[in-house]
Amino acid sequence: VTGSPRSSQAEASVSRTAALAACTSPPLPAALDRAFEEVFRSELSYVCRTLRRFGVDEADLEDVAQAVFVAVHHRFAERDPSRPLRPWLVAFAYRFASNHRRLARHRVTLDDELDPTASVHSPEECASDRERQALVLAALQGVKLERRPVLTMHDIDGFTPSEIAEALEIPVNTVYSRLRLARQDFRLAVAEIERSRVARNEKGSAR
Amino acid sequence: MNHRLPPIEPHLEELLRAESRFPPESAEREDRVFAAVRTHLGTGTGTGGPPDEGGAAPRTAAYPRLRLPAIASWLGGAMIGATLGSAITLALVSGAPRTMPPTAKDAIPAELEHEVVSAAAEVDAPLEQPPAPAVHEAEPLPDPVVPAPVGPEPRARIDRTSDEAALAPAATDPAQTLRDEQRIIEAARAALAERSYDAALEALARHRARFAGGALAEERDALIVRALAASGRLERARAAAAAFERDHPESFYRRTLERALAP
Repeated sequence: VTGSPRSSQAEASVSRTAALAACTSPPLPAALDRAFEEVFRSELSYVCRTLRRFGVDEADLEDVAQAVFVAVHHRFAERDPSRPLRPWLVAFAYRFASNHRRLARHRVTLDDELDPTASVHSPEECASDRERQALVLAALQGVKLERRPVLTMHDIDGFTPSEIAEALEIPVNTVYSRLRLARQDFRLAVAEIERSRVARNEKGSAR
Repeated sequence: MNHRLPPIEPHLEELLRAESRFPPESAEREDRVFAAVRTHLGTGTGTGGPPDEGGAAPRTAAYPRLRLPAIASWLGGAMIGATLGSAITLALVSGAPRTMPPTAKDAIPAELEHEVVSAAAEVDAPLEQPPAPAVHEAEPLPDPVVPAPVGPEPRARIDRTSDEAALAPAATDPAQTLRDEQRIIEAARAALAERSYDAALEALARHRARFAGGALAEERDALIVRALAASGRLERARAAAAAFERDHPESFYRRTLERALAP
């Protein structure tokens, strides 16, 4: 029964038991460990950005990113270096973000600086990348979480549907259907933010 | 199935394109997270990886290789916080892509299976009224900075095995000592991520009692400041931050703490 305390316990049980397995995996050879560090240095920003897109709050970002890279380290020896790295990392980030978000207490809070409804610009008028990025991050929170990786990987990161399908271990057809739905969610979320922005500006000018 | 996608509106496309030009994280954050990852893995904070086979430098604790009794009691102790999860350990596997073994049981060596299954069954037990460890209450908090829990019982009663570890004779094996430290710090970090500040502080006090000058003392002291600040006890947080600055003047956690204390 999804969402019941009992199932949460069971899930935690499985997670912790398997975490044990991860802890007992052998250490990486030196060359791989160095490769891991290179990956960490080059991809931390991308992983953090991905976690933000998946709704991880700024206050928890470092803790979740740390957990992602610990898991990446554990699985690093199994990675196929001929496959693109980032989709593989997104899969880790998505699962960690999902777990994180499953806890109802973890909600995204935007400070005023990043709140796109605080902007005086419409989505079409957003002048700077920073404004646009804030709007995208906010609108992504309106996209159903299971659809979000497909949207971010395809429409932001530019991965092909087959790469996405492989990384998320879902059929290509599912990638396409989720992408359609995710775009619709995103469109509605941007429109909603725009409505809130207009209402806020009208309220401000009426004072 | 029709794989053709309808075109996306130009202004939305432009927004999404802008998001692909996201700014990099700061070097401080990179260092902090990397150090935390290394601490968790027990591989130190140096830039080099583990030595090659036959290399001179021993790894103090490659991966945390948990002894079975510790594993079982750790899993049992972890049940208390099971519904809340842990930012690190809970997500270790469910956060990993499905290239991991399909079930945890499959991943456990046969000789470990019995203990793990018992521990997992314990984790599935009801959470109501976990027995409070009598000895723990008798143990004085060593640091006046760490407050006693106030108000309702903290939601995340964490890692009772740490109590046992605190009472056990000091481990002579440095790797085991580090693992014991890690377990407590990890529990505190998980509680902090879940905003169970009293539970986090409780764990940190236990760490200080057991490992005052331990390898993870710096991380512990930083977490104390963060937990106090996050729970709104700002005066105590500032006092703890001042002590931290005195004890760890070169720490790269200092900037994090400054941010945690910023108005």
